[in-house]
This record gives sequence, C-alpha cells and structure tokens, in this order.
Amino acid sequence: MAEVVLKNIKKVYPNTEKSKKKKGNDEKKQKHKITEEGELAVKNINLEIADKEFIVLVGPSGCGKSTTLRMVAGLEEISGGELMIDGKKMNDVPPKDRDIAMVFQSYALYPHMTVRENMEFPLKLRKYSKEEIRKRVDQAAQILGIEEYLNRKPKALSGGQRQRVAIGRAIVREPKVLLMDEPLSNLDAKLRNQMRAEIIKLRQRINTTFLYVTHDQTEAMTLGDRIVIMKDGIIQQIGTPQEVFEHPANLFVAGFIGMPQMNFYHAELIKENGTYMAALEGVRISLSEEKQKNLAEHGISPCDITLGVRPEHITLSDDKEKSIHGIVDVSEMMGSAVHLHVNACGRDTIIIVQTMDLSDEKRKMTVSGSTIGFTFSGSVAHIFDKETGKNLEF
Amino acid sequence: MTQANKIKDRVLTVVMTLLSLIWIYPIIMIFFNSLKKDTSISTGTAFELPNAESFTGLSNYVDSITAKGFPKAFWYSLVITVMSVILILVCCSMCAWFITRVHTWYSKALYFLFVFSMVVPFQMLMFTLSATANRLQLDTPYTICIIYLGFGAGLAVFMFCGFMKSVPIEIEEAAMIDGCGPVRTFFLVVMPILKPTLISVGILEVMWLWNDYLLPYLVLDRTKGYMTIPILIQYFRGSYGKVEMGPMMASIMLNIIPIIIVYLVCQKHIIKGVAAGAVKG
Repeated sequence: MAEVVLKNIKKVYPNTEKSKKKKGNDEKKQKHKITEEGELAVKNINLEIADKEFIVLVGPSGCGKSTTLRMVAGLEEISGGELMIDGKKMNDVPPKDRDIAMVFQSYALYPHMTVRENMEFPLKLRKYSKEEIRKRVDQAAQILGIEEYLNRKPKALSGGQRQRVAIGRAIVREPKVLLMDEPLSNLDAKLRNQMRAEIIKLRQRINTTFLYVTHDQTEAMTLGDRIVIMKDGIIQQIGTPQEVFEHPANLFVAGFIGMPQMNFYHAELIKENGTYMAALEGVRISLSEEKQKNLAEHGISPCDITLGVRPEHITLSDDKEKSIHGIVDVSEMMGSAVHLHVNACGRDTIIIVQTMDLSDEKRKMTVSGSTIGFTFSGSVAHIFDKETGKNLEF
Repeated sequence: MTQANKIKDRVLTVVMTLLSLIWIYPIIMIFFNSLKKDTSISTGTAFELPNAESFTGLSNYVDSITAKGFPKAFWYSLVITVMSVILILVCCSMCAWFITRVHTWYSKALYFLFVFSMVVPFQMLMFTLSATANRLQLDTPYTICIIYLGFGAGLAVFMFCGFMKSVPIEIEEAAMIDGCGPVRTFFLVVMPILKPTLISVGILEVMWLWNDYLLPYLVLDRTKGYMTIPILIQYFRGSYGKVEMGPMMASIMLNIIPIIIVYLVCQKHIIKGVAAGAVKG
C-alpha cells in the first residue's frame, strides 16, 4: 500500500538508423514525435496516485499507457522526470526491489511450474518461511477460487484460470502497488465481464494501490476510482469515470469515452441577450445555466464550434421547427434499445432510443429510410473549440 | 480411409521397413562378427552368420576390454563428452539468450558469426588448430572441451536462438518483478523452459562428440596415453597389415551401446525439441 507519484515522466527511444529514415520520409505518419533525442513515446506525465487508489490508464494503441506502466514497473528505463513510490525515488531501482507486482496480458506464468509453484516463486525468492508461503498461497487460491488447480501446470488451465493464477502470483506478495497490463484482453467477452467483476471484488479484499492499463473504456469506467485518458504519449484528462463522461476535456476524450461514441456537429456558438446558444441547422439550443456560467467565466465570445451530443441524450421529436431532421440509414435493434444511424447535418448521427419509450407512431419512424426529427437539451450539449478541440467550458 | 490410401499406406510401410533394414544391417553385421573368431572374419566370410565353428562367445568383448586399455579410453571419451556437452549447453544457451534479447548490431553480428562457423570445414583449420591446442595445453581430455565448445557452438546457438524467439519475454519480465536478477532469471526460468531444446542439442552433441575421431586424434597428447574409444579402435590394426577384427568389432559394439541407450531414453524429447524450435508460437 503506497502512494505513487509520477513527476514529468518522459520516455524517449533513442534514434536508430531506421527511425531516422522514418523521420525523413513520413514524419506526419508517426504517432510519436521524433526529436533530435529520439522518438518521444511518453511526454511529461504528471500523476499522483493516492494510497489504495485504483487508477486506470486508458487510450488507443500506441498512446504510451503500457510504456508508462512499464516505467513504474522498472521494465523500461525512465528518460526524464521522477518516479516516487511510497515517498522514495525509484527511477534507478531494479524491478525486484520496488515492492510491486504485475499481471501481464499474456499471463506470463512459468510453464514448467505447477500453479502452486508459480504462486510460491516470488515468496521463495524473498525467503519466506515454508509455513508462511503455504498460508499465503492457500489464502490467495481461496480468494481467486483456484484451490483445485494448485497441482496443475498452466497448460492444463483455461484462459480465465490462467489469468486468476497470474493475479494470485501477484497478490501473494502483498505488494505496495499492483500493476495490471491489459489483463483481460486475451479473454472472450463473457469471461472478461466475469473477471472484471472478480477484480472489483478482489480490490475490496486486498486493499492495495492499483495501476491498471486497458484500451477498453468499459473496463476503465467500471474499475477505476479515477481514469487517466492518454493519447500520443500525453495525458488528455484525469478524473473520475463520471467526470470524464459528463465533462470531457476535449474532442478526443469525448469521442473515446462512451459507447457508441459521441456525435459531433459543426455548429455556431451565439450570444443573444447575454445568453449563450448553440445554433445547428437553424435550430437554436439554449445552454444550461452551468454552461452559461462556465462560458462566461472564460470570456468565450461567439464563434464556430464543434458541438458534441451523446447518442443516449438525443430524443426523437415531432416538433418540426425545433428539431433537426435526418433520414434513418440503419436501424439496429439491440433488445432494450434501438440504435439509429441517421444521416443528419451531413454526417452520421447515432441515436439510442429505448424500446419501452417508443410509441407506435415513433416506432414507424425508426424504420430505415424514414425521415425523423430529433432534439437534445442544452444541458447535455458539449461545446468544443473548432480549431483546438478543447472544451470551451474548461 | 479409402482403398487407394490403404494401398499407399501398405506400400509406404514396406518401403520404410526395407530402408530400416538396410540402415540397421551394418550394425547387425558388426554384432554378428563380434561373436566370431578373428580367422572367420574375412572378405569372404564377413557376411556369414556365426556357426559352431566360428562362434567364439564373448571372448572378443573380454579381449577388447582388457587388451588395449579400453576402460581408460572409455573414461576419457566419457569425460570429454560430458564436459563438452555441459559447457556447450550452458554457454550456448546463455549466448543465445543474449543474442535474442539484446537487439544491437553486434548481437546480430555475433549470431551470423556463429551460423557462419557451421559452414567452415574442420579440415580447413585442423593443422593450425592442433598446433595452437598444443601451445595452449588444450591437449588433455580435461581441456579439449574448450575446443569442442568452439566447434559445437554454431549449431547449438542456432538451435537455441530459434527456440528462444518463441519464448515470450513477459515470462522473464515477470521473473524480474518476482525477485530474480539476470542470473536467477536464466537458471530458474529460462533454462527450464529450454529443456526440450537442451535435450535435442545435447543428444546431437553427444552423438558427434562420442564418435568424433579426427579432432581428438590430432589434439590429444597420446604420449601421455590420452585416447578416446574411436582412436582405440584404430589400434586394433596392428603392424604388417594384421587386423584384430574380432576385438575391433566388439569395441565398435561397445562404443555404439551408450549412444543407443542415450538416444532411446531421450528420443521423445528430441522430436519435441526440434518441433518446438522450428516454428514461432
């Protein structure tokens, strides 16, 4: 159990002949900035993780989340900045002396050892007594429900069981920080949901600091106390799941968090009688009081904006004057809801309509090819700068 | 199974059986001749089975063991083989670990150097080598393993590298986090995973080392009585063209037996090891 602090952490992969060639040829295609020093994979990460907090690093492939985790683990050299675990600087401390444990995506179990031996291994290396080793392994096996597999080799286990063993091997040591690198990515959807719930339960039982990496925003939202959204080696936003969902800091976060992703439109921010409104396709949407206040505080003047609305916040409307119109391209029946892909404002708009809210009349509107009208409240609209993509309320 | 497949299977079985018989025939012939009297082994009679007149029991075996210092030669063969194989397995697996995990130009160069060493014929360097070995006092059964390490490294590094590439690096990283330094990671985690390849390489090296004639013949200081079984066998060819064929055949049989035992014990692992190193995954 410990606090983890990352201060201006940077990771640069030194230039090789290959990367120099790449730099010369297609620098624009590179995700990471190539400097004279080398390829910048992680840029000045600042993050304070409180004791016993569950932090999730989330982002698309190549955003630097795994590199950051590996730097905390000591598996990657830190190019710049300071890493503190429990108040001690850890930049040059070898992984074995950091008092951390890690669960890998590929399980990384020792294939020549049985499950029990796998779990005993880190304790044996730390010269725990036989009694203590047995007690801890049995306890971890009980927590994870793998008691009956203790004498099996990893090859005789299923993916889910292997991942439990990997978690077991990590928790027997009672590490200060438990690092998890996409631990559920190799599992099928059903097992992933099950294991996600197991991790939530595990977290309540073992009380340690968690640093969890995933590219799956559902995992991030359900597991993390706070989530850190990364892109191209830079932190885009840090906040609780609710915060990043309701108040995305920029277009990237808004598009990344939420499934299906947020709808974006080219719109205009106008101010009439001191009131901010978003104008879209001739329809004026009054923004909520909170948004009025935030925009006024930042002195935002009328301008072209990118307007974002989540699919679940859009409602169908019959009001021809106050609604935006579009043609239903595809209608996906998901059981409890219908996902409508509507061609409106020159782009694909996704609308989620709960089936139980659908009247017969509205149900007819959800058929492919029909014209529908929709609207949304000013309290759920997100206003982004057209040029920078930054949320104008921030 | 269709009729055509059945016929194909039978034909293949017959062909393979014939090939196996042709393959094993020389060994059977050596075995039968080892039970015959010297005088009954000549160009004309070598292919005959032992009969009442030519059968001599195990006397050739007794002669070959007692007459020319067979126990000593056996010991030296054993020492050279065991020491060299251990040295090759430990050093080459470590080297392959370095080559596969450290991605630098010199690790690549090192790998190609090892692979290249496999195509250099021994005859090209044997005379300079024997002179160098003498000068460096590598001419005893206890030091010749250094030379064998050099000759065996090419194939061993090549095979270890092939297998090592298929071992996920996360296992080693997990070991490092669990508390291992590089040495423990190698001996407690990497080496046990390499077991199938270690056995395959070990068997190949054992077969080569146990039967090798030319290198020990050139390098070992025979004035001190150092000789391996293949060298000893040659000593059954006496002066004036006299050859003690019976004891020679018995010695050859005695030389073959340990190899056959080792092979039979480990053959399951050889096939597994060769397959495991062949593809990544």
